Amino acid sequence: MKLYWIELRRSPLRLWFPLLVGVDLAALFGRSTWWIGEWPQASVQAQIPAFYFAPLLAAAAAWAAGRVDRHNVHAQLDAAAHPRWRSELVQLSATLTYGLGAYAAGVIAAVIVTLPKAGPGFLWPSYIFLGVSLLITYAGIGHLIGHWLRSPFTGPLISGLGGLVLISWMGSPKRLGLFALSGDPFKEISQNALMARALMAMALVIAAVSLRRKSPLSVGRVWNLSAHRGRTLVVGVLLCGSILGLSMAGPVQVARSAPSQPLCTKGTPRICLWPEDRKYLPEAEGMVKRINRLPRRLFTIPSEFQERGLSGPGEPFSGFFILEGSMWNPAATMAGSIMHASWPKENGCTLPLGSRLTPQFRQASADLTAWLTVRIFGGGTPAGIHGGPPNVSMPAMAQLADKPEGEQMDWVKSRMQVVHNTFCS
Amino acid sequence: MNQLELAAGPILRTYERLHLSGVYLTTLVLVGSVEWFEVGPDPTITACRSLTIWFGLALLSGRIWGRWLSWILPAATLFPLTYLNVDTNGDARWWDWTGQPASHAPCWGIAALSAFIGLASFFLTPWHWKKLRTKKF
Amino acid sequence: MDFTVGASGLSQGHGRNEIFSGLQLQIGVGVFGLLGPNGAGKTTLLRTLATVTPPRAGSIEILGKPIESEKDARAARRHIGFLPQDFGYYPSFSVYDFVHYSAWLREVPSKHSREETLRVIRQVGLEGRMKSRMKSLSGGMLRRAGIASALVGSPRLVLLDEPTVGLDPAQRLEFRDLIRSLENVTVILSTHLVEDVAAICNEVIVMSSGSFVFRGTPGRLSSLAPNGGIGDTPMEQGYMSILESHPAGTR
Repeated sequence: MKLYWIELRRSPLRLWFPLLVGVDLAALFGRSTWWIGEWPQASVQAQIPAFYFAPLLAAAAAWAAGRVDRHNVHAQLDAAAHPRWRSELVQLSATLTYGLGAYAAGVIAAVIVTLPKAGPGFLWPSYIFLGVSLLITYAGIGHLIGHWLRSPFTGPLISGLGGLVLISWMGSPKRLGLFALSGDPFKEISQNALMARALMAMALVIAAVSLRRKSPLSVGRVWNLSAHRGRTLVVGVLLCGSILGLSMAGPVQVARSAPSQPLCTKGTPRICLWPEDRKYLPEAEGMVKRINRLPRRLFTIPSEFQERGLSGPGEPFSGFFILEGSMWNPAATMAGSIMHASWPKENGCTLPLGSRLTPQFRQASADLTAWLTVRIFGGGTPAGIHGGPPNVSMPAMAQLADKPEGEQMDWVKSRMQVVHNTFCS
Repeated sequence: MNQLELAAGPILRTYERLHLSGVYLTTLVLVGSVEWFEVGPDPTITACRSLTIWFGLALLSGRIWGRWLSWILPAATLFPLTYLNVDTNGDARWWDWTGQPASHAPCWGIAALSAFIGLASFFLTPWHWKKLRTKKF
Repeated sequence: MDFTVGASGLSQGHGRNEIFSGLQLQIGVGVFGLLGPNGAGKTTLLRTLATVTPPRAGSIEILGKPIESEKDARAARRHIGFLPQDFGYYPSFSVYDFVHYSAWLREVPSKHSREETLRVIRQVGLEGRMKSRMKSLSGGMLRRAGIASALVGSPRLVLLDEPTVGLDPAQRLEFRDLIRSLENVTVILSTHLVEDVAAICNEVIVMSSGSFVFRGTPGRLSSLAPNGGIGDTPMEQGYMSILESHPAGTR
């Protein structure tokens, strides 16, 4: 332990630690704060800084590992009674302490801001551990690279920048799944995937502290060469096994089982949400009121709208998801669902296909869906939404939604007539 | 070698200046050519502006931590430029020199400032600093 | 006869390059000087005795235990203090950290490591600089810190490779007093400085081209000085005459 405290006190990361914490908090709060009040989203947000910390920690670990060469301490370490892996492990632990410490600061901040608003529950530990395993993985890789590349700057450069390129290119949830970008409540971390990543992290740490180049002072001989070779083989097998396990573990995020009691608005239609999204319930209730103001002679309103994952596969438009804290996407999904339910169903009216799908029909359909979206959302479009369906001007729809009700209904009727004529021609 | 270089004559400094100029201009030409042929004049100017900013930061970084670690400050810009660079409307922030168009004046201000600080950190040796400090205004 | 370190038929080399072969050695308690020209194999011999590198052939015994495996080597290192010629240090470490780190490397029991560290720092006269960073020390202070790191934990065998490099004359005198003060310890001192050997060593071994060409007391080495020989002191003259009779490159 004493040596650990020496390494901690003398690590170059000690001076950088406040900056690391600053970066973590900037990553947490600097881009958006919509995640506050939802435990799964807060968990993912707390984990996101690992995306940047991991390459940074790799560079730091490479720099720390390279100090043996930079300061020519081979002779003392070669003559040590302790096996070499112990001093390597202590050093790597000190580097990791700073990285994980800055990461923990962000986690604590996420808890503090989310706790008053989110209601029952807590951070989902699986997301936090995903970030931890990423940090440990990269620290291990950096330590290994720093040990093997004797140049004082190539190791940190390759580990840091190369690590960033790798994580950006291959690390997304759809590829290696090294991090998660979204904490939708209908998804959760796969335990197998998490275990595989944790094992890979451990394997890399073992490799980092065990595998090393021959000391430059060596006259070509080592004690117990067969044990060295055996250890190298074991570590190699461990690494290959962990990579194999990673590839076989499946996607990092999997569908989550629906709760027996979703959170739903009162009355009809019902909008049902995952309990974790309780902060959106007041908005959902507002949407119900606005839906009920739609003319029933023109629109057929489904009895229930559900957030994605609450029901099995069924109605194509029945599962909405709340994107980045905005109810815009749910409004659009509900609009699509209402349009689908409102298609003409009389005898002789069929879904237009092929040549019957005229541009006029497409335009009318898109216009109506966009107008419904704006109405259900409550007017206007969110600041971050810049587009809409093809050939539809969302600002124009927002303006239309502000016009007198009579004018809007005339517009709706004209569009519905096009739809009806196309279905029933 | 560092100790020997500190006691070197003027010729080393001449070569340092030539080397830096050569590196900057070569990179400018290479990056600019590829950008021009691939995407056109506006992104080319933006890329050259970005290069100038990073170059200045690299010079400052090298002065603070040593030439081997010139990449620290440029690398540090990756985080704000990739994660904090858009506002809630999805637009590039005013300081996002990679996202703002070529005509955006504040980013040119950043380029000028970075180049100034970078060159100052290169040219202002401890002797220059001493002269500046003891100069009576 | 009890000896601290013994070697029998000791050979060392790298590829086709043989550094020494067939060395026989038994050293007990006392201070032993290892003299020889550059390339004689002194540093390699010390590294081999420090169990850093296994011998190519032959055997080593440390404190009566044969060193036949890495496990034996590590166990022996608890009793060996080794100061390499070219020792490195982590510049941000303080003197205390550096010596304490060496104590940890040698598995000095943690309940004693603090007092041991303080003791040896005092012994080498660096207690006023205990909290100073290694990078702030002068060459002589660094060497003293290195000596402290070799002495921490009271090892039974102390191997010092050029320990007085960078020390001023007064510090060299203090170093000699320090070595003389060690009790019940075997010290092997590899150096170019004949006067250090003359001042503190009980016995001298002269090594040339991988062989021992002389072993005896400093007095006996001095007695071998021919009239008008090369050197300023009898011991230097004796040393040079030994080397002349065993030119480098011959065995």
